[in-house]
Amino acid sequence: MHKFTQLFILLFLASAVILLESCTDNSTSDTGSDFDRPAMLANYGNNTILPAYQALQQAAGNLNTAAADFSNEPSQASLAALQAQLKATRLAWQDANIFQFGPAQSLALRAALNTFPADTDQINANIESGDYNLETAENQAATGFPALGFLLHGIGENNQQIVSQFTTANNASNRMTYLQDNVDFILDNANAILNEWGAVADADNFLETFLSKGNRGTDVGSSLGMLVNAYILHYERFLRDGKIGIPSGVRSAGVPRASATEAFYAGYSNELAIANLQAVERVFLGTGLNGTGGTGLEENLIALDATSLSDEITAQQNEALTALQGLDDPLSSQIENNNEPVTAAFQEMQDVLVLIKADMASALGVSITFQDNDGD
Amino acid sequence: MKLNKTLNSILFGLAIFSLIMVAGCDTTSNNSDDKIDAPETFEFSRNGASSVAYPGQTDRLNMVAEMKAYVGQANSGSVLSEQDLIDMFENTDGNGGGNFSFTSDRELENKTFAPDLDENLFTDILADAAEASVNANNGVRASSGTAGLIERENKGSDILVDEDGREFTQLIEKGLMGGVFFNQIFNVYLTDDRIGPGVENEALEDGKNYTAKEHHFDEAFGYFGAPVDFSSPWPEAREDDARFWAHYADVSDDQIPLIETLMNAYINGRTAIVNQNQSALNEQVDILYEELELLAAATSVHYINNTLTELSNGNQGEAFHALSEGWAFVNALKYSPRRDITLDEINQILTTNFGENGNFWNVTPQGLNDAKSTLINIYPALEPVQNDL
Repeated sequence: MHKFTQLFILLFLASAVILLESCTDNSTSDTGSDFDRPAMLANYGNNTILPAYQALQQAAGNLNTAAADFSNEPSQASLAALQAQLKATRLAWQDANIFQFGPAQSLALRAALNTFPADTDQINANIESGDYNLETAENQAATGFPALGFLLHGIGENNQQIVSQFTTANNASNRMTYLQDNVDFILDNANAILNEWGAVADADNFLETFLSKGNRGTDVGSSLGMLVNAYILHYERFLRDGKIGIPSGVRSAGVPRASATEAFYAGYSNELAIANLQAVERVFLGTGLNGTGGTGLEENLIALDATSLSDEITAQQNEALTALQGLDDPLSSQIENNNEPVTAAFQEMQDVLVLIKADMASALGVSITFQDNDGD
Repeated sequence: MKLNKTLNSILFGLAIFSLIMVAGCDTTSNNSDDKIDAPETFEFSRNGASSVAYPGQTDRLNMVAEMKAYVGQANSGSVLSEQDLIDMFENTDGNGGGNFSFTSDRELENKTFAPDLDENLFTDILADAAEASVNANNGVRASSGTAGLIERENKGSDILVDEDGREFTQLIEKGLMGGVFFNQIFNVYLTDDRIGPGVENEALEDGKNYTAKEHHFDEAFGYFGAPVDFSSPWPEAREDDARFWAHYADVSDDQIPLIETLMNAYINGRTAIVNQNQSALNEQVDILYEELELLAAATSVHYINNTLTELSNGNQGEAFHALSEGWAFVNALKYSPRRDITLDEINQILTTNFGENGNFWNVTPQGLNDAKSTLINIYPALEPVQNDL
């Protein structure tokens, strides 16, 4: 009887465990047994994402100052300083634009800051009327960096002419206001994203959410799930297609659209593409914004016995980087005069995409939740 | 011998375990007066034949589907006839003026929410669609204040939107899911007038195998659009069997398990009618009012999220498509007489949050987030899944 009771209790406990097991979701279960996923997420949150938004905000603040200087004393010198700060801010954006999930999604940050090509008709109409709300869907292509690129580089043959557009030309004062409104708009967005992620340390910020226990799994909505989906979506649509594929004509039956390059008026589109590809590579390796090594997707793959895949991705990323580095700015001229190396660079990037979208995602156990461009 | 004893113990343990399991799973009360226990699916019979019928509802589901298909032709440049659209809405000559692939003596218009008819909500949309289709035919692109075509970037094909950026097929299809289907469920078939204590539940209808009360409840089920064996998780292979509202219960089922909640309420409610148990029926009707409204709210949040995503991705056409769906699902919240949201709150979302003056071209991320917060505050059940919907 003693034995019987013992066995019964054992069985009962076993059943209870089974019942409990079946009630909890498996979102926190780990696929790579020795891998410290929370450490990887902490590395991304603390050393990559948050610093990228801090740097963006810093740059946007400097941009604001430079614009104020230009407005107070419009000159070729103050214009050149403002142009330089615009470039610095656009470069900072290349480190931050990969993380379009969570607050960045709620703010539609990428669309607000960097919808290109700029809609110059809409920009000019807004300047003329002086009546606009930069946040609306209608003005998406009339705001942010591309709009500033047009205003600071695209409205005159040289800097002297551009300065006059803000001083003596028709609508000069409206144009200056539009410039400042855009600079403010960029800073507002940079402040907002940083605040959401955790400029202020409180339990409600998104960094806490990103690192929270319940989000440590690999399921849809987990931190890794969001990060990997955003990473791949960015790589596919906004780096491969947006910066290279669309302007070089891969998406338009081979007919190039040089004016669809990211910095068409400023002429440094390829430099931005290189900076972005390097940022993407750092994210894969887990290297922080300041260059310090850390745990990243690379280590995660190695822990999952996918070392050869990890090596392949790194090697192919380097091929793509070499291909981009072989192109000349202005990228629009390169496309118009010698497009073949540009489409070749697209192909190298395509080869990276296959590795990360199919092989890496499946090795990590993350499902791709965004819709394919060629979809239904 | 020892082995045998152990085996016995195991078996005994398992038996107890299964008893616990069964007891844990059994949610129906064992009322000895009950004629039937709740079945697994929405199937009920009398004298060996089914007592469930809702062909009129199925006809109207098909009418909306064929109207949507007709309006959708404008997306590729066909000019729509306003008369054809009205004929379909009124079901002229029993075949939508020759536009339906079937005949029926039912119609959509006379089942439409009366205040919508007073405001000409749907007839105006139909007239606008016909007018805008001429623009589409001329290749006019949409812009603020101009109806025309806009590309859905993910599909690479165009949709026709009105001067406020709203997609006609969504306004019509999803609009009628509210104005007709929800209206009929909420304001007709689930009311005391149709399934209350005074409604005939003994004698069968002439030449039919159901009582009036049974039939009315089945009509409320018919407007839900679910297959009788609708259950969670619903297999992808049978995706098309779940139509209209049932389809959207499936869309958000991973985040909020409404398939099971709603099917249980329908099945248990119908069982209560067979068992002549009005109070048990009322409990299920309460659940249906509550959870169908929640379904519209969850679907609204789903499309607000979708709009934010598409805006983020720079896909204006996709964003307007999603927001058009969102518009119709928020509008659908107004049809329940027991709604938790006020008409003012609905209007605020539709005419301000979704773009000043109800113009999608004016929509901002802030406005979308405000609309979402409003809905989450009113429907706290959505709070934990608000970003996953």
